[in-house]
Amino acid sequence: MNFWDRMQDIDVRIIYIVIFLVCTIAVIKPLGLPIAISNTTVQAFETMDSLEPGDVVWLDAAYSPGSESELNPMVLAVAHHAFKKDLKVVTFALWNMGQKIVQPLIEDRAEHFGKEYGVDWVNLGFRPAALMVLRAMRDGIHDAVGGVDDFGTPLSELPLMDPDNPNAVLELNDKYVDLIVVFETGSPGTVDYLTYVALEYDIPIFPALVQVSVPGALAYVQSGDYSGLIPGLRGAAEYQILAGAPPTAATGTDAQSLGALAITAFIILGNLGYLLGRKNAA
Amino acid sequence: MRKELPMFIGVLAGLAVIFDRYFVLGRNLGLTATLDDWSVVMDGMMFAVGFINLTRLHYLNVKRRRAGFIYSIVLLVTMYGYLALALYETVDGPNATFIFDNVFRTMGSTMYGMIAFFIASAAYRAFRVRTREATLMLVAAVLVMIGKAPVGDALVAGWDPLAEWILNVINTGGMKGILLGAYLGAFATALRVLLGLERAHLGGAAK
Repeated sequence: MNFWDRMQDIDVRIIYIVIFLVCTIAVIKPLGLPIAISNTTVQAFETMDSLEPGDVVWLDAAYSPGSESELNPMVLAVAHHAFKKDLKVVTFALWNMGQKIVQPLIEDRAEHFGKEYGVDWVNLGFRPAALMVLRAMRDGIHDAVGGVDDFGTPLSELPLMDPDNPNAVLELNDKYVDLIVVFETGSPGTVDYLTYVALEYDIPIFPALVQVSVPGALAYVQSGDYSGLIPGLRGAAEYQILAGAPPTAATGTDAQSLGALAITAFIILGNLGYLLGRKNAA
Repeated sequence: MRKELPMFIGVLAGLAVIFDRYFVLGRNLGLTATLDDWSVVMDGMMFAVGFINLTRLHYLNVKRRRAGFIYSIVLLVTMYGYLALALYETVDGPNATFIFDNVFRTMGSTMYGMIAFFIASAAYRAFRVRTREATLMLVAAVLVMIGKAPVGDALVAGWDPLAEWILNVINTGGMKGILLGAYLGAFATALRVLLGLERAHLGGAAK
């Protein structure tokens, strides 16, 4: 077996070790590569930036712990932006672990801006048959979620959801909600909000997606159904830059860059081995 | 009646939703809201059925000492242990939260993180210039992969816009066609279920 034949068949352990090393190096010693802001992220940022103080943003955590590394920086960035603009935030979860994941993230940003739970933001949590609950919330949030938030506190005790408060958020429709942002890895997710809420009530909506879901979602951005999109970890870094949020995603994008270069190098080696190995054999 | 009754119930539910959606009388009757409430109850029941099924499956694995039965024991102990813990102190209790944060979340992230290694290995083996189409796919994949990482523009100015063009024009054009086809297919299937022509979900062949 000559050198080029061996290049076609590199031991998979060598590939794993190289990927591990490049990602580790990037995390330990960040490169600080400049990040160009993509149009879809700018569009998403401007959609939220156009809201006025007191407007309501509905955040949905439609993801599980596996996607935390990509989506948590987005949650931080969006929550930072929302509280910076004095928007009210209501959180729900279409996936059954989403609310536990986003709670500390939104709490962190709320504390940073001096926002109070129950007054400036509420976490409604997850409910079984979340899609049915989503539909029911259009006509009344209290009844749909059983009258309590994620911690069992009656919604009537939270000023943001108290029916006696004229500015309370009582229904998931255009009368009360001004923007929907969905952090998702799959279904159910943004398309369900689009189908049942955003299109029916003409509420702006944009998703914050893992990178693999971005190609499928771009069609909705082009058609105008989505008012922007935050694409993957790089999108999180972009939004953090735009919103002035802590740059927690930047290290990950460096690892992403070096990982992509390493994979490309292996692909080139493999193809050189294939072509030159074939030439030698001929 | 074993297949006719479920089919009849399915058709009735579908018609109720359509009636609710397109007629004021339907909306006033609140049929969909009632069905949604029943769905919430059924969702809980489905969890219970899944729980019982998993128990039965893994109990049999252990009883018959099938290959890997140790993992079945681990699963059963974990499943019932966490259930007992959550019933005792609720899912927001200190120990349940500790297990969720330090075991489940980290394991979930680890599983997802391992994908990077599999992708690297799979890309190395799959992207070979064997045919014209494979070469085209290889070139597009490399352009988009590097272009969407910050290093792309750092290496060659204009790499990111090229990757954006591939995604926004070529990819999105293809995706729109796929989405259209998928939704037309879903609509056709839903119509077949409503008309009772589709019986695969009832355990029978389609008409």
